[in-house]
This record gives sequence, C-alpha cells and structure tokens, in this order.
Amino acid sequence: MKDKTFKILLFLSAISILLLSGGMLYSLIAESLPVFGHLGYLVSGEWFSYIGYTLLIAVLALAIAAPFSISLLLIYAEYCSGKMIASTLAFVMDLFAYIPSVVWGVWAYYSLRPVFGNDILLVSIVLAAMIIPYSVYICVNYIPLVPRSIKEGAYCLGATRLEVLGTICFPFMTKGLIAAGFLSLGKILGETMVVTILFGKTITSVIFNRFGTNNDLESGALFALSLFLILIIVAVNVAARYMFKKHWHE
Amino acid sequence: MSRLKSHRIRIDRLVFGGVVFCAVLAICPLIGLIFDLFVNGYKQIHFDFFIQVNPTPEEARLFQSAGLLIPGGILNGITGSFSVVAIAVLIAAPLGILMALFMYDDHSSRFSNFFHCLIVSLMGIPAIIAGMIVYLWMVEPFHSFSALAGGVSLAIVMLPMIIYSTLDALNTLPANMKEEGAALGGTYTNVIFLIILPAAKDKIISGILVAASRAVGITSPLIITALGSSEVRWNVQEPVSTVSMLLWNFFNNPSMVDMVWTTALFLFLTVIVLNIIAKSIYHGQIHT
Repeated sequence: MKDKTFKILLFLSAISILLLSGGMLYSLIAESLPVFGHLGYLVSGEWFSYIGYTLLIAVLALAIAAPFSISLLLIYAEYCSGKMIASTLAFVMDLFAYIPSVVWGVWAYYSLRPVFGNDILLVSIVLAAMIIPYSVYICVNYIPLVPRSIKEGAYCLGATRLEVLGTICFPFMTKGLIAAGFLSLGKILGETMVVTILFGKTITSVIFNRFGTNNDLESGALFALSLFLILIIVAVNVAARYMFKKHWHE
Repeated sequence: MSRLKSHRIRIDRLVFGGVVFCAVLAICPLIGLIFDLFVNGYKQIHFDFFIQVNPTPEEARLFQSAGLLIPGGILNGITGSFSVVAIAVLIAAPLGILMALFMYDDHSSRFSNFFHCLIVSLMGIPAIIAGMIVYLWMVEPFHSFSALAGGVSLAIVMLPMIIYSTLDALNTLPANMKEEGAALGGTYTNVIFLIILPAAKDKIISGILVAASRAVGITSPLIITALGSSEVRWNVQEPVSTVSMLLWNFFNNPSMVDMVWTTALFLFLTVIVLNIIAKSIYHGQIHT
C-alpha cells in the first residue's frame, strides 16, 4: 500500500468518528425538538423527578463506594504494596470490573431485595458494589504511585503509616482520586439494567421501559432526557480527562 | 514522650484496622454474587442447556409444577450473542485500530487534544442511548429489528474502548521505534505494518477481547435493536436473541427462576473466561 493511500485511510477513520459523534448529537437534538415546543409538557410531567432520582442515586452510590474503593486502593498501593495480596487484589478487581450489570441486577433482585426492601438505598448499594471493582481498576492503572524514596524519607523521620498516608500519599493522589470518582460517576449515571430491575425511575430505565412509544411528545421527552444525560456524562468524563491529563497517554 | 508515641501508634493501628475492615466488606458482595450464582445455578446445567433453544413459559410452568427440571436451553442465545458480538468486533476493531494509529501518529498537533476529549466523551455514552440512536438510524428506516442493528449499537459502545486500549498498547512501545524503522529505510506504511503493529499485536488483541467481553454482557440496547427470537438464526437481517437478552426474558417470567440463575452463571463465566484469556495474552502467556 502506498503511503499516501494509508494516510488518507487514517484520515478517513478520524473523519468517520467525527461524523459518528456529530450524527449522534444531531439525531438526539432533532428528535427532542418537538418537545421543546411544548415546554409545559416537559415541566408539568414527571420528567423532572426522573432527573432528580438519577442524580440522587448516582451521588449516593458514589458516596457509598468511595470509602471502600479507597480502602482497597490503600491496601493495594500502600499497606501491602508489592506483596502477593496486592497483585491478587488487582487481578480480581480487573476481572470483576466487567461483570454484566444484568447479572448484578438479577442477583440483587433475588438475594438482597427480600432483606433490604425495594428502595433507593438498595439500588445505591448495589450500584456501589458494582462500581467498586471498576473504580479500583481505574485507580490502580492510572493513578501514579508515590515515589518510594519520598515515603522512605518520611518513615526515616519517624512518621507512622497513617502520617505518611495523610501528609504524602493523599495530597499526591487527590487529583487522580477525583478523576476516578468522575469516571465512576459517569458509569453509574449510564447504568440501565440494575436500576430498571430494582427501581425503574431513573432516566435510563424510563427510556428502556417506554422507548418505542407512538406519542411524539413522549418520545421527544425521552430524547430530551437522554440528551441531558449525555451532556452530564460528557462533562464529567472530560473533567476527569483534564485531571488525569498529566499521566494519561501523554 | 513515650505516651505520645504510643498514642500515635494506636491511632495508626486503628485506621489500619478500619481500612482492612472496609476492604473485606467491599469484597463481600463479590463473594456473595459468586456463591449465589453457583448455588442456585448449578441445577439447570446439563447438556441440553447448550444445545436447545429457550423453553416457552408454558413448558417451564408445566415441568416445574411436576417437580422436573425446566427443559430447553440457551442455544439461540449463544448463537445470537456470537453473531452480534462478531458483527460489532468486525465494525469496531478495524475502525478503532485505524483511529488509534491516527492519534498515535498525530501526537503533537492541536487536534490531538480535541480527539482525546471526543473519545473520552464517546466512552461515556450509555449503552441504552447508543441503542436509541441505532434504532433511529437502522431499525426505523428499514422497519425491521435485526442482528446487524444490534451489532452496530454494540460497536458504538466498543469503539472508544478499542481505541484507548490500542493507543495504550502503542504508547507502551519504545518511544523511538518509529524513527528506527524509518532509519532502516522503511516507508511509513512499512514501519506501521512490519514493525509497530506486530510489536503491539498481543496487547491490541487483548484490548479487543476485553471490549468484546463487555459487549457480551450488554442487554439494554439490544432489546430495542435486535428485539429477540426464539430460534437459531444466522441471517443478520433478522431479529436474534443474545444470552443477556434471554436472561432478561427469563427474569420477566416468574416460572423461570432456575433458568435465570443458570443463564446468569453462564454469562458470568463467559465474561470471566474472556477476561482471563485477554489478560494472559496481554502478559504474553498465550501467544497469538
């Protein structure tokens, strides 16, 4: 293959990605236009409650997951760093990061729902359990380790492990942790099956349950909701990218 | 002085205990999930499970009320999953690798940052919304649900993952490999195809496998694009069922609880096995 042909091929692939993203955005906007002409319908209906539930559940799940993820990360990176338990932990977290959400959903429905009842807290707990392996996986792979020499210096000065964590490791990792939190938040916001099975009143599950309706206004509202969701997720992901920027593919 | 020291050490131990406690608690749901899947799922595992299509609700109710195992299996789901994921890989892998090569080549230009942001944004698009868009583009105009539409919606989800894993693989190569190739007299195309891609091959393939394992478990966009079917179909223009869609269908039938568990177990093991294979390839334990 000639160099020029190949370069054109590469360029075409970039163009096609651009077209794909532009086309998706265009379709979402075009389909949600009818409902923006009837703002009353959008405001009066139950649509805003879905947005509220989506954000509430996502933030709650992230808040529940955060201490556990950070604990696992500390075990991996600080307390047991370099030992077998750390590599095993990283391996298991990698494996579990991609368990299908529908499996989590049916498991929670049959095993946890009889105990916890059917409410926001249960959904958040299940989403948190689901996101923990993913967030640990991101942290392990993308947050740089604190240079060993700095930590050793602190230990030489007589610091306890906690003091090393608090004064050296955490300030070093803060940006990475926030970015990992953002990425996890984006993943929770887009989660469909767990929420549909257990709760059913978030943006994704209302789309899943009511998509394909013949009512133009209703389908317009669904597309408007999805547009809103995409805007949030894109903002969150791009913010995470800027926080990781120093260490991520540069 | 010694009292102060012991106080500090005590707090340190307390925090360590808290961290271990939280870590153990975080592992509990994973253990619970595996335990429940195996305990409730093993019953339905028999040879028929892999070679028969899914049972109807009436059959299931009949056999269950007689105290027998539910007949039938998930063959239509397995073939459907295979064809849908294959379509998705065939679309997403070449495009993703080309795009990663473009971004690898284009390190310093001012578009590089823009493309990074674009790919990160694409990565965040929820699967269900990818499904909605494919519904608009492929299902509505042709008035038919199809395996092809399902494959395209999975491809949209897989594409950014493949781009990033390929880019990761390319970036782990020694920095001046390209220049060395060029110094040997290779053209740009030669360098890419004879040096860069073979050197990164294992990691690229591993990334594609990981993306495929994610695609295997995706349910929601397929239900609004591939619809489902209770027979084995290889025609990509007709609706199909995948394993994850069958799991959802079984879940909606109260008489099929046993099938739900076994299908979930199957899906879980498929994803785990795919990931383990991908990891072995990544670390060079399996040679491609």
